[in-house]
Amino acid sequence: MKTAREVNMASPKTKVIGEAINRIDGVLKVTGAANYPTDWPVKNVAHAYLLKSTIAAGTITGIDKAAAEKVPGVLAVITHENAPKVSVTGNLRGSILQEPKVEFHGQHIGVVIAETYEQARSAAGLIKITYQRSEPKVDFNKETTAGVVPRNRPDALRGDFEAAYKSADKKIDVTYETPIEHHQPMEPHSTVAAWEGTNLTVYNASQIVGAVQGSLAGAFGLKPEQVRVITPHIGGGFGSKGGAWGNVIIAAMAARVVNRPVKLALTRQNMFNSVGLRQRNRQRLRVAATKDGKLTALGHDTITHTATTGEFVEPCGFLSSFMYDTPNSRITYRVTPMNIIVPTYTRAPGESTGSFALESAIDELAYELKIDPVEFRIRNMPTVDQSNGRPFSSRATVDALKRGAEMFGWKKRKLEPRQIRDGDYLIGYGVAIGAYPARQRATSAVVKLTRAGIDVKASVELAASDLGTGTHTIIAQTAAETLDIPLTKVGVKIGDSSLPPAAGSVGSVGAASFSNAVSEVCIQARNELQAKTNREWVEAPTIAQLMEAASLTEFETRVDAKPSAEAEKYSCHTFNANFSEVWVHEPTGMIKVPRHVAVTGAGKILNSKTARSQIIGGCVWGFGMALAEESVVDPRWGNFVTRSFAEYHIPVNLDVGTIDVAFIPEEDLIVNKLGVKGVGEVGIVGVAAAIANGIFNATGKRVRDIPVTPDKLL
Amino acid sequence: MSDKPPDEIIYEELTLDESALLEEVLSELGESRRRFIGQSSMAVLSALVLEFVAKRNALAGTLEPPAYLPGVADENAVKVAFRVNGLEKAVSVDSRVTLLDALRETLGITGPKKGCDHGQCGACTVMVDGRRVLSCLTLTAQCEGRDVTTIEGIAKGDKLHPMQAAFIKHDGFQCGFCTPGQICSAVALLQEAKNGEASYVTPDVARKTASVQLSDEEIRERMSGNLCRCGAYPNIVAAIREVHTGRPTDPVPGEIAGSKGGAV
Amino acid sequence: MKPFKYTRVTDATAAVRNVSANKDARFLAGGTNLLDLMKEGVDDPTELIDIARLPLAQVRSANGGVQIGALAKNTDTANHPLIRQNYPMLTQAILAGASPQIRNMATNGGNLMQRTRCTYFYDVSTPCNKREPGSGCGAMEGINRNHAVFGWSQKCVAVHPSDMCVALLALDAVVKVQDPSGKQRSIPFSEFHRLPGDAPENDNNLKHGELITAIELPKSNVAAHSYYLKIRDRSSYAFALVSVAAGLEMNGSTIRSCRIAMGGVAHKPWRAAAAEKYLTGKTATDENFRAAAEAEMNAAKPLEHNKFKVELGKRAIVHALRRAANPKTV
Repeated sequence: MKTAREVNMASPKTKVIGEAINRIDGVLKVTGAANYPTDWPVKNVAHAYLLKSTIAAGTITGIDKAAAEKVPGVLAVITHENAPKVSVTGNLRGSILQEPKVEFHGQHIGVVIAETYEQARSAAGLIKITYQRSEPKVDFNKETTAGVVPRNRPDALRGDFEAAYKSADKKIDVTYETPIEHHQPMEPHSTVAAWEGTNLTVYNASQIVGAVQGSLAGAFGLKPEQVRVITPHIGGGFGSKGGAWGNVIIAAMAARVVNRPVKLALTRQNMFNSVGLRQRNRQRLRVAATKDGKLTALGHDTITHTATTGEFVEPCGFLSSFMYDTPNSRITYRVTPMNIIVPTYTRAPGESTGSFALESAIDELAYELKIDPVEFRIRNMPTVDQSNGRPFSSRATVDALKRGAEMFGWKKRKLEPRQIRDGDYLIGYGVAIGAYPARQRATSAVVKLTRAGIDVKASVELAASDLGTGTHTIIAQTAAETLDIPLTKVGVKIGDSSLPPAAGSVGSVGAASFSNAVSEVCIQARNELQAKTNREWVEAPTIAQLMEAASLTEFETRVDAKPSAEAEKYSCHTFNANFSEVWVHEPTGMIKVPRHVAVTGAGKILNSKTARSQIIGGCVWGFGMALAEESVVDPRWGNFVTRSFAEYHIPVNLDVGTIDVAFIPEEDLIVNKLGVKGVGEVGIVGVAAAIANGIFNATGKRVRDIPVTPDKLL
Repeated sequence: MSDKPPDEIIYEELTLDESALLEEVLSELGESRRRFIGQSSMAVLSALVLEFVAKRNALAGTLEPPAYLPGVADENAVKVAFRVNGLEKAVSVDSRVTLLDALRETLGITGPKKGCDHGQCGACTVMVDGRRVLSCLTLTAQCEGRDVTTIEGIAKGDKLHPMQAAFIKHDGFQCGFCTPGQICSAVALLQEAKNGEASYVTPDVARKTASVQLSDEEIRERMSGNLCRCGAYPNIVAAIREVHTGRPTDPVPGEIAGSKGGAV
Repeated sequence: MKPFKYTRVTDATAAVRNVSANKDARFLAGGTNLLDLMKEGVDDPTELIDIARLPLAQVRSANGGVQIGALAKNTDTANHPLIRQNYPMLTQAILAGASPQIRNMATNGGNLMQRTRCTYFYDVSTPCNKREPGSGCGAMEGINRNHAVFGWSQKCVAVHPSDMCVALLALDAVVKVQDPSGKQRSIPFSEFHRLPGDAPENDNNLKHGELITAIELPKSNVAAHSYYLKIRDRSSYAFALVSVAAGLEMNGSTIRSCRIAMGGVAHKPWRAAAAEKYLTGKTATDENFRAAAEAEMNAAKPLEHNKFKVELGKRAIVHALRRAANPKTV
């Protein structure tokens, strides 16, 4: 492998895209110098603390804030009684103090602004709220018996599922439970909002920079250009920082009321009922096959909940619609509104939870058939996407299974469970496959070139975001290679809504959208410069030669890159396979995963170091999903009894063993010009199933409700 | 354990841009005097460097309090004099203010992060008198006369601490929010190993040794007080293993099967 | 968190005097639990007396055993050669708790004073008799997976969260206390914490203003055969579902005496007296371990969501005893 310095200093025509170079924002991050929203030095800032409802349904009938207002340093107490009116149209989500109605436990019902954080928090504790309570709908088992078809998820039926299932040789009918989970990025959502006249600046971690800008503009009746969102570094998001939640609007509202900058940081406890969640799903899988292992029918029925305030249903059955060759298929959803905060996009929404059910069911059926689960999957690969009849732009499933099996040593696996032991540990191997859509979204980018002699520097500017995915670095790599200048001569400006609009870092569209736009703008710069020189070049000129020939020391151009229309004709996905070695401590039921292999076909890899890290991160999320994470609602009152990191267990370092990552080489120029598919979401897909399947292989016990905690293995 | 840190080797991994940034960041710390980047060199630097410089300039003049730097309110005010990253600091704060908030809000030292504020995540980890502690559960008032080291004070002289360099090399982070706490924790861990301290996964705690060579499992257990939601744990362990053993190891890139390293 | 007066004291008598004089005053040592509770609004002292710099941090030989100072840090206690050699089970128990950072801050006295992690105790929007006597118990009819199976009352089903205390109970430690009049008294560990009964607001039998000055460990006869087992939902940095401190005094393969205590099962660290009684004089076999575990756990009264703790408790006792009997087991 080349060192970064070698890559940087290499002669022209060096390959930079794909190299495992260090993050260019690494120095900032390891020295504490990277600015997350509350780190910016904003003068004269006041501190805000949220007031949350202590009931799940009802109406606020009284607010006694006299004691709070007397607390020294308190600048304002804002509730629905005195909040400035803001518009609630657009992408705006969450409660913003406009009415007395309470729709879930922990809804924002007020905010205290004071000179110091201590004063604001202390004053908030003195406010007395009285409510007219309604019976809350918070008990999943009770409420979801009469769900309805979601607005955008109609029943999808193919062939004759019922007949095929009924007449099949071998079949299973099993139900899987996945709990509410929370994103819980390490950086709680926080905002510093400052007004200058009618212009608003917010420092706010935003996966979709433009969406936050749009929400704020909509809420306060401003033109988008009156709102500036600054977000160069994001302390993790995983879907929860997609757009603006209520807290962002409240921060801006508070800053307007007290007429000075306001800092509003959610507490960790606030995070459980402020910024969405992954909903609880009950998935019934009916899968049937012939004796020799050919799938004949696949039914995937999901029961879930949404909020009384809005509908969001993650597509648990999505993968079931195209992962396997199944002539007869049935995919349905039923949803019930409940008094719980609205669910939202959470790392691989639908694919992660859906793959747990689908890939567990496939494993169960393979075991019934006494067929190796890798082989069973390979036997049932489709040739086209049967949900829409489109060919796959590329599909690495089989290669990933074969490569993964080899890396993992799958040959050692026994078909029957409880065959491998080490002391008190039962050892099992599990496998699962998955996919996540590969998409590109419209993104604009500007490149600014400056030349001194033969020295050309480039500044690449777009309103992209980097939530740890490596956006800064892959943009620099793409520009350096396309312009054929050293990486060190490229500056990257992102995370600012005043820059050209870009796609969000969501749904694995970031890398494809940003790199293609940056590549296009750099190619365009070269072409436009070449046109200006009005010269024939025998050998391809350097950027410096072109600028010199055109007598330019400065040059700037912009593209508005669009996704490929051709891609629409294909089924475009990143595909993967996960293999997990699971050790179950038989006496106590404690589980460890000392070894895991993830193989992914993700098209062109822009930086194999940061891409690997993203896959590892997805795997660790899968470990959490399989073994630890669960948000529990009190079925009487609707509060989360798991309300801090002490109860909501995300994996710790000791929970994670060796994770080997490989990428299948793919040149898929259908998905987009650079052939980039994205790796942010796919890493989690199938991981929980691989672990649960490994637990079955180790113990002979099939746990269908995750997380698999020690009590479930007694 | 090797006495010689492998930082020279790791330095090869830094880009020139990073090196420039590094000089700026490091010149801010310790005893060395503040240097401002001249206009001429500004153009060379990326947005990331400019971000750092902008913040430093905004804070300029507020960071060298002659005497007790007042908090906004003085209800139950306590005066505390302590050392932060080698510099004498004196603050007067509300008795409720934690060390974390005093560092971040009063002194503008924002490396330590508020991840949970309840001792459940480790993002606020700093060293007090050389030992890793949680600044969110420490009152500023308790720090009178203490010596506090944050991530901003880890580097010595004009070089990153080997742990910082190793975190970059092994990609021991993604979003970077937990990183200041992870690195402070990791640096303290090195000393704990030298002291021969045990952990819950130590096979025989009754046998006390002068120093311990940490297995990966030991590193994992000893780093389990620092949550990382991006899941960089394997890379964090690789970074710590390298510095702890003194044996440089190649970072593991994602293998591109078929194009590298003898794949299928 | 309400405003409070902060005072640092330099002698124990002043500390005790200050706290006794104000019912809303608290001792501040490591602060790892107290500050957490204050931020949650669970505890609202008006005055904190910082005792961290009192000279009570020694670990030393005493009366044939070892005395550990109340203000010694958990880390220093766990790693002290006297503890590692003579009470390795205590070292393991301390190191099973919290995280390295917290153990560097937390003191031994503070560990004894930890309050329950019951979510209804922590969430001031829900009822809790321990936090607000008379308001009701949120957990009794609520989510009680992590709650007690022994010794609970209609008023409270919370469990004590400490690991260290489980080992201290098994080791028959004695808590040394200084009262407001300056007198010293000794409290056997088994009498330090209490069951909830009708007054769950009282975690222990200390009077307001009494200061823990030291913990005495009698000479141990189980150092060679002891183990602290902690079963939890993730591998580290989590509270126990069930934990067991087990120590055996062996005579060949015969158990001359044994010490077994449990965590995560009751309002206080739980002495597994029935299991101890059963095993005394028996041989160290899996069958006997299982029978001892049955003897102990069959008296358990689980709640709706923690029935698993009965079987898990049995397995934990058996496994901890196996590890204690044969230190090479994993």
